[in-house]
Amino acid sequence: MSPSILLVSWLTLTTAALAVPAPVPPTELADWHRSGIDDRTKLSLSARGWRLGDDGRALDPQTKAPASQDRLDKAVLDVRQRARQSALEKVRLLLAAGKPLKKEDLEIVASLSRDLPADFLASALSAASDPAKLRALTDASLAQVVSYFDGSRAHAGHPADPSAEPGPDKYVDIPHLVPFAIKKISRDPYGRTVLSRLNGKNGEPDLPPVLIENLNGPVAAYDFRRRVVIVDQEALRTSIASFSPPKEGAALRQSLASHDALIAYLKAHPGAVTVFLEQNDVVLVHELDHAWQDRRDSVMQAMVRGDIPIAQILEYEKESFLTKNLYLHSKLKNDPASVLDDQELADYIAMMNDRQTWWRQKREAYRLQLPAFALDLSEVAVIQKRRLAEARSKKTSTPQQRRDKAQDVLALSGGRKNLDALAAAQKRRLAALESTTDRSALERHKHLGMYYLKEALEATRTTDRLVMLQKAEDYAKTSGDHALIEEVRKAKETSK
Amino acid sequence: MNLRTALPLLILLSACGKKTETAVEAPAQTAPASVEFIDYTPPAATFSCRAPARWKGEETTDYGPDEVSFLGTAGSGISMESRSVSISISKYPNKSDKYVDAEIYAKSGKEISGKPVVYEKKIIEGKTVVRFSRERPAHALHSNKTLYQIREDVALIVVPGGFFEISHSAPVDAYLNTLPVFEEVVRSFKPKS
Repeated sequence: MSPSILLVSWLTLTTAALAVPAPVPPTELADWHRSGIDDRTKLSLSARGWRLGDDGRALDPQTKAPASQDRLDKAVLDVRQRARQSALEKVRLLLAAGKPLKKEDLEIVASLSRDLPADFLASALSAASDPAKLRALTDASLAQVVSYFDGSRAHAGHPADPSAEPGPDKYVDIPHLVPFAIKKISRDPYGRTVLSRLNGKNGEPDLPPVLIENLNGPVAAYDFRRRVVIVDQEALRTSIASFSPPKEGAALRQSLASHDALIAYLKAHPGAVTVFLEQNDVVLVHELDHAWQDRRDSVMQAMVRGDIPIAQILEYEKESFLTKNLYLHSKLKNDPASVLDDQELADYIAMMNDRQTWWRQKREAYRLQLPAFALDLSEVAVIQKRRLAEARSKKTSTPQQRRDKAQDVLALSGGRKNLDALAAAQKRRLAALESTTDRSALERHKHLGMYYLKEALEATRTTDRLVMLQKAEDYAKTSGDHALIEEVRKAKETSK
Repeated sequence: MNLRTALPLLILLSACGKKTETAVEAPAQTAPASVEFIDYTPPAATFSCRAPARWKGEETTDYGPDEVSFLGTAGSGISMESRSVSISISKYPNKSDKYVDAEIYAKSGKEISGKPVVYEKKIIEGKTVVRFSRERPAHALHSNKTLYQIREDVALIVVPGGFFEISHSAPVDAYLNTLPVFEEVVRSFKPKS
């Protein structure tokens, strides 16, 4: 099973104040099925506290009651405007050097086109060789987005109005998952370290709620808006069905098509949750590291308030990947039977073999697949600087506008300080993690040799056994551990 | 006598890797006529090379002062796959890496692929170069879903105390389009002492 997504990068900002609505007449009720909302927008709405029911009803994050179509349409427009802002700010980053856009840059602009204004791409292509013209076009489009959200910080009750934020209390946690996850991860010494970072006031691990939603690919995600971990419902269904014969598995999967049915099944079958955790504890550790980042640093919540641009910060991703691989290393060392020969192990091996190439490939994949959101801290700082400069230069004519401006400048200045502090702290944190990884890398050959020897001895098919024994032999020889080399030799003799 | 021509073609098999040692200097590749090149030197000035002028250059310092990636495109489309072409240069050993020997590094790829790495040692423009290629899947982020296969061509330029890695990465079915660009970067690469 693969890792998970840590941050749902396209999560956008909720800033609009939500008034208490009058009861919605049945004819005006929203049906999100008929609204043409794509999967990405659905995820963004969920992150803003909306609950999209299987029956098409859209539950308002504030009232928890079915919303009107107008209300849902406004929420969708907010989401799309935030996505447009991120896309335009990425274009602005591409133009930061003041040089004409290269073909690669134009391809990135093209990949962002669904979030850009309708005619932006055509205009960008015709103005590609004239950076000043393209910058003016981008700035004009950005100004429109900014004016859409004008004053929203004040209306949202900024700086910090927890009551304006939807809490996770109206969502249904995956039954049994949090206590079972604590039990599973705490079996490992490094896992206990990861959990202890999330300790609550009583000194016990206080994990974020874990919800089921459709993530369309990733196994899990940390949603910093709701401060919850999300598990992909398809991944859960696959895990549940994997222990049934194909025919029964298909029928079982079909019977769990709805969210409610899935929750009911897991409530009645705690064993299914245990199995999911056996397969995905490494992924969960990755997500829990993001939860720790969110509690430890103020940056993610500053993003939620709009004080810092929404981004999937690559330095955070690197930290979480290093952490989950150190957890896997600890499992290999202390309890190899708990390690699966899956994509997570392949990722661990690639990192331990050559971290430089491993991270370059990961970084490129992020920047390719999430061009508007996968940003280095230095790039977020560039966007922040520009936002702050614009806020400072904004002309005002009324007392309310002056108050809005002052609030904006104050919030964005605070955001910039947060980013500066994070950049320095994260550099030190990553250096320490990489140093630990280097020390762990030296002993991996022995642990992997023992792991593959165990796998070989348990293999039921001859071909599998031979492949595993070959791996065990390679690792044993590289480790130089004579006892292990001898054990593998004997196993090879026996299997002849 | 020219030492390079005096050595016979040698094929060595080792425990982890397979090496082809080519004694004859590899013919110099000519730069593709359709691609415009510039002379590139990183801020740390540890090497120089020709680089594709219209590709996007990204200098990073995660693992040292000499890292750079040139990002290009494989085709005329706007798909993610068409954008996934890069030529990256980095120095080994870096501040935290252990690899100082190019051949040991090449062989170590077996740990990732599970198969011996077939590599060859060439002399290109007076430089000792270890060459190999490999394939790997491009996954959707945090997912098992494979988007396409990536082909990587790697050239390790041996220098005193270590080596530079030049890596060309492109979709398997399009890598030939940009391989000549990579060859020109390798041919023109000059480490600075």
